[in-house]
Amino acid sequence: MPATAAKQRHGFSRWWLATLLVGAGALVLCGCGHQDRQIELELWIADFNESTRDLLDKQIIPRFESAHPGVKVNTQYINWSHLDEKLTISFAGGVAPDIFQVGAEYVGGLAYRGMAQPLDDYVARWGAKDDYFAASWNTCVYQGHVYGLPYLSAPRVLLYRRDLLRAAGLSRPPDTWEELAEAAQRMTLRRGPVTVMAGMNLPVSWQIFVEFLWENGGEIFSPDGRRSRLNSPEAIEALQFYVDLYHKYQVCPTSGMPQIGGSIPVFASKKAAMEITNQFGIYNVSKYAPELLPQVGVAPTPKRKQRVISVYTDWLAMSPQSQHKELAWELMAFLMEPDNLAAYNATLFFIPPRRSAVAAARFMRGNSQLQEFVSLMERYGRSLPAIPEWFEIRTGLQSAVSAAIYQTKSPAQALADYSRQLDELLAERVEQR
Amino acid sequence: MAVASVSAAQREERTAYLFLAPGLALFFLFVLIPVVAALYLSFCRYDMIHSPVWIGGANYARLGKDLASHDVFYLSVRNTAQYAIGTIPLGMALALALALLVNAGLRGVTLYRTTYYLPVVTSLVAISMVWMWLYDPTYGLLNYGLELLSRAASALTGRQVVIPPQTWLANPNQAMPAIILMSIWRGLGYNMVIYLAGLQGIPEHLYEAATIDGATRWQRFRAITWPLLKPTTAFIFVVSVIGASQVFAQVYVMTNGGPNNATTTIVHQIFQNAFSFMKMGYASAMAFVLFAIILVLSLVNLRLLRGGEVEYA
Repeated sequence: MPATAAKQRHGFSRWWLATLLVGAGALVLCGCGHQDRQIELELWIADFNESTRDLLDKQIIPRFESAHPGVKVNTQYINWSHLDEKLTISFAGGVAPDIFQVGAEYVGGLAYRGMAQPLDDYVARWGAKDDYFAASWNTCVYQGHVYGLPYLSAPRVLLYRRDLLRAAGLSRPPDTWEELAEAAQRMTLRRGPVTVMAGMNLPVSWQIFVEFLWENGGEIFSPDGRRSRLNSPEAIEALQFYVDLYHKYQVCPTSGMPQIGGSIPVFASKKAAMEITNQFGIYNVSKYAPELLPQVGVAPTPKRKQRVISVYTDWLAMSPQSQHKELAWELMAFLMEPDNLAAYNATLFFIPPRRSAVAAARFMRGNSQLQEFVSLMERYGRSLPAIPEWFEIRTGLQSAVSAAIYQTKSPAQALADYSRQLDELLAERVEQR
Repeated sequence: MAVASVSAAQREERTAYLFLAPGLALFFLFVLIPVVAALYLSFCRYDMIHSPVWIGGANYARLGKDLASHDVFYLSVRNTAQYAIGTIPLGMALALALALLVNAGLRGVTLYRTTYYLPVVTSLVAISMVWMWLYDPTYGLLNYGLELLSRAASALTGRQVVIPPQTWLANPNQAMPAIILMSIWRGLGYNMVIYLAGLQGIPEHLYEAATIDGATRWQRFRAITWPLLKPTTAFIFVVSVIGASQVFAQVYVMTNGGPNNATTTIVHQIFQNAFSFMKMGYASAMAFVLFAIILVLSLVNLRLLRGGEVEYA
């Protein structure tokens, strides 16, 4: 009996083993067949909301897939806060996405580390380069080579309240720094220690400083990008003006002011008469105070020695690790088709970086305010210089600007200190090369 | 016989190593090898994309220079020290006070204990998000409290009193105290439970004898409770110092080191350099400096707190 039972058990085990082997073999065969049949492209998108996901997942990507049988696009939506880490790790592991979205400061670092594919040949064949705004396009260029295609743009302009300007006895928006300080002071309203209407809403941001710096004829780097120019008189003067708006003219929001930093932005909550911002300023007003929209004017940021509109553009890059570069390029070009580009930008309220896409964008048609953004970007637009160390520089520059605004250092000291650090940082790159 | 006993011992040894093998393998794979690799990388320039390049002690020299010129690494060390000084003494004192209250046999002790322990088992990221709401300048509970205070003061004095709302996490002077406050609240339950265990280990007859001798409550605390809790205090202190030295999650979520580097800490700098600036070598050097700091602090703590242990028969 025991012998029979053991035999039965052995027979049972063999049966199970055979079944498992056959099953595993079938799975492997299925996998092989599947691989033969389908090419997968990985796309990482960092600028998105629910509408964007719907648009890409339900309309644009399915259209691309149906035009390319056997191709499957896996779209991943990655928050900006995690993008750098995920990109670094995926490249280090050799599993980088075929196409990924990055921001205005990325091209130098990606190109320098070999994390973006040069696209010059593809672009030359494509022939749509001249349809892009120059400032947007330049965001993707490093040392004369193109590393991506601009996907959305955000020019920084001056928004102002027409009604408050009139009430202050001014007939036009400020055109120079001096006029800006004067107008902001006239429109600032205080009750006791509390500011109830700020003449000028300005975040503490290195981007605002760069705007002032350029307007004052200054530069962040030397022409070859290897030395800091932040200790120049133009730079110190620009940061001093920024600090003065806070402390000398006292026209910026203060911590005692109600509704600062909450969910409703200051300008849209009718607590500021002017602000330097991008198109989101218009979006916020239309969302939170639509009745105010006719009173909102769009003007170029006041100039000093020259007129500059800084343009921040997010763009799509292709990974050099991609196994399907031709297909990846086709997908990039497809996403850039005017209708697709316009629809994508509409979901996020950005300015399409391509003229034909602006023309195709229904949300911009008849909107004189947004059209003014486009016009200013076209005439005075400028993008950040392409430098490999931008990630570190933006952090260090932000600290220097904050130190001056919060008055822990004078503008000259803050810039001198940071300029020294920046020179050391840039020198490291020279040694690496 | 001798041969047989040796081979039995060898067999036992082999069996022991066999049982230890999975644990040792994991230890080597996930602890020892990464630590040694990080030590090697701390002497390299390494961006995780290209192969590491040996640069000797340049990363450590740069850290030294950064400390000397009061740059960002110096700020991170200073902020970490501020965080430790802000959280540890106050956190321990509050935990001891709570443990004494809970140990006093109040009604609903289990409820108190559970309530204070809840934040310990809650995700630190979730807690940080909740506290960000509390600190929100417009809708936050704290500023609402200030508004209520303003109204009460106005009603009492008969003239308008305005306590301005604060920006808390956006203010360089308030951001670190705000994080410290949250962290004390979060760590209270853990320290309280450890103190409670220490208190319950003190023999009751010591208190009875002291009471018979006419000792007051304060005298009993000073002569019995505090000395006998010394090992517990030492443990909590050492663990708290190590924890405070490694503070990261709440900083990353609530302020990301800002404003103006007011809350950046050593681990935050390690993370930023490694994964944002792709300077894995420099970040590894920072990690070993942190290791050295923690090692020295722990040794000093243990030496200071070990002496003068008290035992009562």
